[in-house]
Amino acid sequence: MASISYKCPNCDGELMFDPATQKYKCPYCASLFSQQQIRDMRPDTAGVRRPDAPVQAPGSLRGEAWGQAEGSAVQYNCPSCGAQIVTEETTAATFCYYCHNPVILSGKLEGRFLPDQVIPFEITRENAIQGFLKYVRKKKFVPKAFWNKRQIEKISGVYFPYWVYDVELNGRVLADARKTRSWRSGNTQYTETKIYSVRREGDITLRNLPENALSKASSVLAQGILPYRYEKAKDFHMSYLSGFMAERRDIERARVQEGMRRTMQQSAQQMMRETITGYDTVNIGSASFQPAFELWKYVLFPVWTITYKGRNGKMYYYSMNGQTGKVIGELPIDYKKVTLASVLVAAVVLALGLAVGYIL
Amino acid sequence: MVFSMKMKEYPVRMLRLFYGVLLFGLLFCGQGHTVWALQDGVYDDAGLLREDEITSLAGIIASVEEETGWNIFAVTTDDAKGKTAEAYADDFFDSHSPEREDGVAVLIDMDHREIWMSTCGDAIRYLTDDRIDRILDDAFTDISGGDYAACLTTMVEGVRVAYADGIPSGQYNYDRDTGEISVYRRITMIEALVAAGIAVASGFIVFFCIVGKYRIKFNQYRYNPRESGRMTLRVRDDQFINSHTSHRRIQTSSSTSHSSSGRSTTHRSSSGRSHGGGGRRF
Repeated sequence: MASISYKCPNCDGELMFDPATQKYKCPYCASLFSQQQIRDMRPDTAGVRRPDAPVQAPGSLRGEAWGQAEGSAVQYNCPSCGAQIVTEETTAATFCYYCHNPVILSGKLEGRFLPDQVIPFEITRENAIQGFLKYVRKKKFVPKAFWNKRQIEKISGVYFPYWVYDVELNGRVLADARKTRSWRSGNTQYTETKIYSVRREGDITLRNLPENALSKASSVLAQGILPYRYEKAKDFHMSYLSGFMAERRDIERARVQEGMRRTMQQSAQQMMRETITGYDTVNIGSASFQPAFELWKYVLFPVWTITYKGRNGKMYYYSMNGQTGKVIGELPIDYKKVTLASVLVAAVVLALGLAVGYIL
Repeated sequence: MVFSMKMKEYPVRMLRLFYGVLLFGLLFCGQGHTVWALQDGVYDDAGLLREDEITSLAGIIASVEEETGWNIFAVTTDDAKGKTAEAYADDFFDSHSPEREDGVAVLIDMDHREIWMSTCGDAIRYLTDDRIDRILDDAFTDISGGDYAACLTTMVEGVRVAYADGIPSGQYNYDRDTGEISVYRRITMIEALVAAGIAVASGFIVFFCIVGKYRIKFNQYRYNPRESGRMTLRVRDDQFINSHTSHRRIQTSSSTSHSSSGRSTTHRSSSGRSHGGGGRRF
């Protein structure tokens, strides 16, 4: 296993992926390199070894451990300054604590842990900060004095691991459907009900159902930043991680596949149900969907993680979709404002209700 | 006959003198607004009532006036001065209640041999045509038996009952001259309670929605198959099985937007006030 970094051919600086240009930029000489140029380069490497004495990783790991590295931290040598750094088990890309150069632990993403695809960052750090502040300032029920750019403790671009599931299903739905027609003749109201037996059979292809694959990630935040635009996904290459942090999966497919299959079957049934139109009521009698083809992809999604220290001293954690800018995270609440808004709504509804009662 | 008439008129005149002095005193004490409430409200110009009947009727009128806040007059006449019973009752009320518009004048018109109820102001809403008809039915029974005091009492008590029953649902004033309809609108206690209930529920929903949203309770991602799915149907089969028809008889109801039960028919008196009312010949 080795740690790698991509060096600028012009000045030997560490190249980083630039979300704005979707190219690799040297922070020292401002040179830009395409993905193809990076593929042709040989990255600098340095050895990584497991520390002789067990080292307590910062923060305990949960969920499934991976391979031989089970339950322990990993020590690596920075390819730029040679310093020895310890990382968590799932860390796949980070920065050297001493020289702050980007380092990719390539060994963490090899073999069965090699991601199939990556969605590169499209939002720069500056845009992420602006987008985050814009998001929180739009929130009307947050205490006014709460937000301040200086309160942002830490913002990190992190690639998070997800499972993405594609499936082709052979499906069949049998339903009982009814049409009713009503008419009046003299003082008699007639209602005619026609009953139909409905059958639908077909092939349904469903793509890109995502599921979080990192146990230490908050499931609320991991789900909340979805969806991503999958058409922008690229075949994985280590270089995309340069300049960002990355996590490797520790949730295996077996743990999530049944739930994901169930979601897809429900979605397929919903699609087939929507083809049964022109009826007043439809009751599904039986439905069966058999997978004809399945594709499980291991994909890294870009996420800006933001740690914000509230003026009350409490830490708040936010995630921003690194592609679309969608932000998710718990917000502090000004209960006075919320109560006032609720009372106003109640007053308006009361006035409307009384007006309706007066008119009728 | 003349003698008995004079005997009947004497105590009435004394009573009027007493009330005249009282009125004078009250006006000078600056208590003018209570003048009408203290009047007996009985004007037996036709001399049909005994003294005790007048006293009793005055007591009833006073209590009805206190309950309703209206002016009530019980009037008899044997000379309508060329007016109809309706016009006489309307004008009597207008001339004797120039400040307060709300009230009722009940009349025994011996000139036309007709009884009449003239309503004004709020009393029009309470005393709909239907209610007046019912009161007059009872009053007619009394006057057919020659009991004038009972007839007037029945009409005045009818006013009390109508007030106690409140304005009926669907009440509206119908101006018989112009055809104009004035619907009585109000908010019932049930409507107010329902509106208050919905308002409180709305307030709570808004409160919990905002709090829930800020605490990210409703941000579960839902996969959208329409965006990421494609379907090819091989079988699309809809087979008709059978049909059945049911029928039910429709209850017919009046299609008019205003039912006649809530109607108070109004007209303009010579003073220009709007009056309701009704009468019966005997």
